[in-house]
Amino acid sequence: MAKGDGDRFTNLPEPLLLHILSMLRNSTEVVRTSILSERWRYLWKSVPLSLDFPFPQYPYDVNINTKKVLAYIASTNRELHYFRSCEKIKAFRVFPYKYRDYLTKDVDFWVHFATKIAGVEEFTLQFYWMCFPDYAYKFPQFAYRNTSLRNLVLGNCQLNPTGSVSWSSLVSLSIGDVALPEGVMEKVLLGSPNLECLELDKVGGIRRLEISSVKLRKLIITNYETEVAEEVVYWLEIFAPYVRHLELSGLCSDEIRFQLRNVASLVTAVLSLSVDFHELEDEKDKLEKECRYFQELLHCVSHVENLELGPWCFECLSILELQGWVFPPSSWKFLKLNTALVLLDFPGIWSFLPSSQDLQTLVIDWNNHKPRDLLSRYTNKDERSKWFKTHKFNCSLLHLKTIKVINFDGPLSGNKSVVPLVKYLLKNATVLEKFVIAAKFEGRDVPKDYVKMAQEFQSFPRSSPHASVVFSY
Amino acid sequence: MASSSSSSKTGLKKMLTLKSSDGDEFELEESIVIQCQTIKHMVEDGFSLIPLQNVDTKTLTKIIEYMKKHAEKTESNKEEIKNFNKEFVKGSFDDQFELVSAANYLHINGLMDLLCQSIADRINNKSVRAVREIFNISNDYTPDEEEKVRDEHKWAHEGGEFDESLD
Repeated sequence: MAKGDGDRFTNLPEPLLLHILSMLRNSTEVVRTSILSERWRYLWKSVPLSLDFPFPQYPYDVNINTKKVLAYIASTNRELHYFRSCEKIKAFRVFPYKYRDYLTKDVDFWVHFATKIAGVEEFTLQFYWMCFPDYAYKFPQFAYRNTSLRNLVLGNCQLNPTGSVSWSSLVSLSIGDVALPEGVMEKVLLGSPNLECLELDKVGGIRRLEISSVKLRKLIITNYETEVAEEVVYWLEIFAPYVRHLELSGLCSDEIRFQLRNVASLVTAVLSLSVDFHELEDEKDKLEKECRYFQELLHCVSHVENLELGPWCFECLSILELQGWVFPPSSWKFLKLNTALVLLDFPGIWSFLPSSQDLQTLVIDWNNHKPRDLLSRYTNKDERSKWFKTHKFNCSLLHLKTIKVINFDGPLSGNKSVVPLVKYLLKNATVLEKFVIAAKFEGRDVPKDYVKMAQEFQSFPRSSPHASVVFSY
Repeated sequence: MASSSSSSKTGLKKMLTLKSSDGDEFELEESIVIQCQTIKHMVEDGFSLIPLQNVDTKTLTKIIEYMKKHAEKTESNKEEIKNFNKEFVKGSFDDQFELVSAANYLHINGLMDLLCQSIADRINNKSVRAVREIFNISNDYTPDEEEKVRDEHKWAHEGGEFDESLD
């Protein structure tokens, strides 16, 4: 072939070649293509690059020492230097191990590189470890004003702007492992008028989260017991009248408890939190309080279309049902329950079915290994067997089209909870289209039990002529 | 199957004709064809016979197959579409380059991404020699030039074992 008379690949239009290059696994791969042929020599410079610098070792490894951290900083700085001739750096992500004084200047440089030199759209600065609550990297003041950032992720960084914040293009913000001084969250929200998604992961110091922007649609709050210790339990009040998607997860025991004040526009709610009123000594009072708390939460989200409930919520649901609570009517169309249906869980699943008239999709995620200690402690065997004897399984599932059981494991034949439920649903869901049970099966030999049950499922009577039943493993 | 029976029942769907560069005509429902931005704009301008001078019959047949399948996309058949996509990119690279050019010309973004990702996946972690061979790229550098370019980006070629295999 004559020089310059390229092959089929090389002759693709340039925008297409750039698109392909932008899909390579990492930026070094993109640079390496410069050697393919002359046409490729400078092409890489026009590709919007993502520069990722994951810490090269498992960050919780005890053998990480200063030398290794310094080597990480040096190699990151070297590569940044090499990449500086690119036309566009889209994303920059750094994960320095743990904050130490000697890191300050390098991290300041990275923030400067991201916000002032490269003008990246995505920036992640995540320290894996916190030394002490008051000893963390201070996000530099110059970075509180920026027009290019669209996605910002900050972990274990102190935020404390002295002036106002102006992140005019910011669409998504994630803050983790930090206690915010008073007024900082307000400043950040005020300065980010285009924010659509806010994620707070173990963030302390907020008493009242008021989101008044119509654009902010997604709110994710995770809470765990952290070293960001608070003296007293406090409530985090959430006023978010325009938020459409809300996720609350983590353990709320001695720090924060959420209180939903206004979530009127909510369409999707994911409640996978777990709450412990540890300050109450009497076990019975504690349970009572937890169930009331769950009821309140549920009441706040009764208008949503899509609801997901985690293990703790599901346990409360079962207890409330055993107590004789009548579930109020709901408008849920999609419901996902995180529960491996052991017999104890059954009251929970029966509690809402009669009141969920609009339900179209039911997903049961089997991946739940939380012991049912609340349930077994609160209720005794007699009570439970009484419930099973007296409960009338009677509900109309007029709109239920899809049922999925995912991550199923364990034996199936003779399973006293699953098989009857499958039969009941097949018999009563009149417009059912699809019933899928997907087993989380790893290994070579398929249990004989599964093969047998897969056939048996097909023989169960069903009221919807179009329903397909699939058991996959 | 489900889609063909439901469409024959309604019968009122607006039909369009696509004409390949070889002169073959394909009649399709408008709802399927408007996944393609270029055609969508022509439909909005009132065209119902759409000549595609840059797309031959072989390529157009494949593209129609893609659009038909993706028009069936719902919440519940994600897995099926995924498998279809996997099979769809299995052809020879010459066919894929033909398809990706056509997808680019027709502005079918989903198909563009699918094909570009499939091509990119074959470059990832491969040695330079293997990439040249897999895609039949003609190296027009002189040995001296090549050495110079390699030296310029030495850091990117260091560290890590690159895959020499052609599969």
